[in-house]
Amino acid sequence: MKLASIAKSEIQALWNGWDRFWFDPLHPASLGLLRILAGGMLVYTHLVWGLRLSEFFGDSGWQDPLLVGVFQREGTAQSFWWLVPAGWMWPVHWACVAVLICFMMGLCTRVTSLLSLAIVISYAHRVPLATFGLDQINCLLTLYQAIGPSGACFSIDRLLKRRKQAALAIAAGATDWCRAEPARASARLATRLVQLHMCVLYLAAGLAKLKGEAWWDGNAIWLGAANFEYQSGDLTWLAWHPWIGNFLTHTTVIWETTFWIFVWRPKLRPFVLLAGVMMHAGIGLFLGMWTFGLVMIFTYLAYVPPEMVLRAQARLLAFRRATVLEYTDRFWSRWWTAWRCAMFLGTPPRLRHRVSHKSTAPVTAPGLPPSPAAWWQWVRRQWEGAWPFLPAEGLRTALPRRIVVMSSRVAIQINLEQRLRSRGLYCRTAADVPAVASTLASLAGQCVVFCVHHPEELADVGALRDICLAAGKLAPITVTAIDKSMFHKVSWPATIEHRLISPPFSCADLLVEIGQAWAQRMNGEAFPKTCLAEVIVGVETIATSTAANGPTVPKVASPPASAAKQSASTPLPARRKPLAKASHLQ
Amino acid sequence: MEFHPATNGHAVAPSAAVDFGKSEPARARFKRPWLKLLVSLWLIYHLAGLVIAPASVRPSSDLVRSCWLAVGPYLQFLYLNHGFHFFAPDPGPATIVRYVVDRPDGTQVQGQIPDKRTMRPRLLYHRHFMLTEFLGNSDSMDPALRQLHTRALARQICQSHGGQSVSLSKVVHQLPDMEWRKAGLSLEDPQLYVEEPLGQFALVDLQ
Repeated sequence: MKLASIAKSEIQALWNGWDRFWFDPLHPASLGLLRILAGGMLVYTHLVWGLRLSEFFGDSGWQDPLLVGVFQREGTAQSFWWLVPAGWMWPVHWACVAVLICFMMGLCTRVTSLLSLAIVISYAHRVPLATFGLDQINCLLTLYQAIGPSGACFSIDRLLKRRKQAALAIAAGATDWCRAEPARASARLATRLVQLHMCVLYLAAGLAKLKGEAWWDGNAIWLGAANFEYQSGDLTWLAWHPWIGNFLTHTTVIWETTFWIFVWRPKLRPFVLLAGVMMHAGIGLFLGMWTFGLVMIFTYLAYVPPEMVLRAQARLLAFRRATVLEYTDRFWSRWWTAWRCAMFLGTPPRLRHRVSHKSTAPVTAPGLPPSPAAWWQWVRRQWEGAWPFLPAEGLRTALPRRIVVMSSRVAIQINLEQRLRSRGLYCRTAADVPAVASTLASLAGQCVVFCVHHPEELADVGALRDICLAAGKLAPITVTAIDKSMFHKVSWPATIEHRLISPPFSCADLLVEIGQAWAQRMNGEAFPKTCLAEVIVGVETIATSTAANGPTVPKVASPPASAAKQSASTPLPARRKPLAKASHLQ
Repeated sequence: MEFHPATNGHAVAPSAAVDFGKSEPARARFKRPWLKLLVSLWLIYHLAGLVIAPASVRPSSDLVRSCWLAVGPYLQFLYLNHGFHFFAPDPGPATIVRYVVDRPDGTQVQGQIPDKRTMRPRLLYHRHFMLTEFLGNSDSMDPALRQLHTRALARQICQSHGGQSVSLSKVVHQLPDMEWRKAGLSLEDPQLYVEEPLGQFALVDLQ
């Protein structure tokens, strides 16, 4: 009884180990990258077949059906080429190349991977006398990629899936839409098969070499180098340095026969694979078989953890910062935003619904088409704020319309940005100082809002403020939102172009600060002092005219109609108090 | 309720709120135990085949050859029946085929397969090279196979050059030792080529 329980537990442990080794879910990133590389090699290989298609695949070519039949007699080798009439050779060949391209790009990968496997096997079985190691590796890689989810990453399938996710998120009004590809048991299975197949391959190659004399006396590398028909790079200088050839010969045998042991040791794996890369690169460079060398190197991707592939992808696309994509209620806006999400490389952007209050077509008298001037005004309104180089008209359009909000808190970024945009201002957000610094060149005459949440951020903001102010006349107006409790730590005072504001403040307060700073700057140059009040009115008018369009936009008290006609003697309103408690940012 | 900018403050349906933006998606496993068992059985068979294939290359034992009967058809169907004897047991000399084609107008065309100068890209050169390498290795194979291969070579060469007959010869390019190179001799020295005539073939007999 006890023996039975021990045996049962041992069998259970064995099965668990087997289960973990073969079926523990794995992210398919490595497999996706392998599909691109191996698929590219498949496409190239079959394009080269096309250079002499009739010579190799024709009934009266290098390998006629009788010859191949005798060679493969009593076998199970099958090829669809035996069913293709001579007149259909080219269409079938190009159809096969098209399928392989689809497989490489990851389009309908589940189907095209199986079709690619059939194609690779059929080509190899039709011309067995002209195949070599490249075709063997091509075939095994295609087989295992057909087993695993090779199209789950870096593929058109994935692109379409992302588009669908974005479309669903837009329909649901969600901001985050991208779902990471799940780890899968089939990915582990396919990866393990490639790994084990390579272990068997190298062990068989190493043991077969041990049967030869040249691999023992150290001359094998020289014999390979002296083979003129293989040679693509001159290695005959090895004759004067025989010890190099001996060393490479012995190293090759030792490496091949021990690959299956050392490649499983995580600490040794990089060195084992690096040696393999060097060996196959050497075969490609000096023996002219760069296709074979490359495809062997591609198989090493099975030993690369998918986390490493994803990390490399993130580093490569680090320049694509996370951003926000807006969409309106229009069909085309939603459709295009979903595609933009799907095609966005790097950190997936967030989605945001925008009420398109500026998109109404120009209104004219009933029955009459809009005049060209009305259309031009409408076009200008579409671009206003988003395009900083249009000539300004009047005071209101001269106001800073492009505002960069820097805050380390995402909630603040989104909240402030949404409210500023609802007022028709072009707003960008940044999470850190480098992000602002990288956009400084395009901020001339515009505005930067710094939100300081911690005393540690003061030094960075102070440095960036100095950089902004050093630009002189072109310096952007800077507004620092800083809590009063931290005021005593600020070593730089408020100036005309640098304002300090303390929370809680409303968006209208912020605009007033900007307007005042702008007006004072203009006053110092050529701006008439009489227009100072109009600046404030202009700000208010913008806020008022747009506030009613969004349900969450805080209502701002409209100024009296007579305010616009105030004279220069009208006293400048002092710093306004928060207009609505609900609109407080903090 | 916490403000949600994307929805303008409106509540988001719970399903929508949890469906998007998951950082840790579910890990897909085999849901059916019997499928896992079937796959495991196939794995054992498949891996056994991968090991038996190179082991069955001669010289091999009767046991391995018997096992090969069980896995050989499966491996051959999937084009996995390989010995992986790359450059083994020893890197051997290369075999090339030289030909002289007689055209109907009395002119002759000479050439060889493979030819680095005319066969590009390199992969195409290697395809042709494998054809002649097979001829070099076919001495120990079925004579009928060797004869068929030679006739196919002759027919294709005749057709591609518009000839009516062709004479073929198998040329083995011997590998020199290091002393040869140190003596200043070239790898293309004529002494390294050993030529064996394969015969004269008329196109009408090859059709």
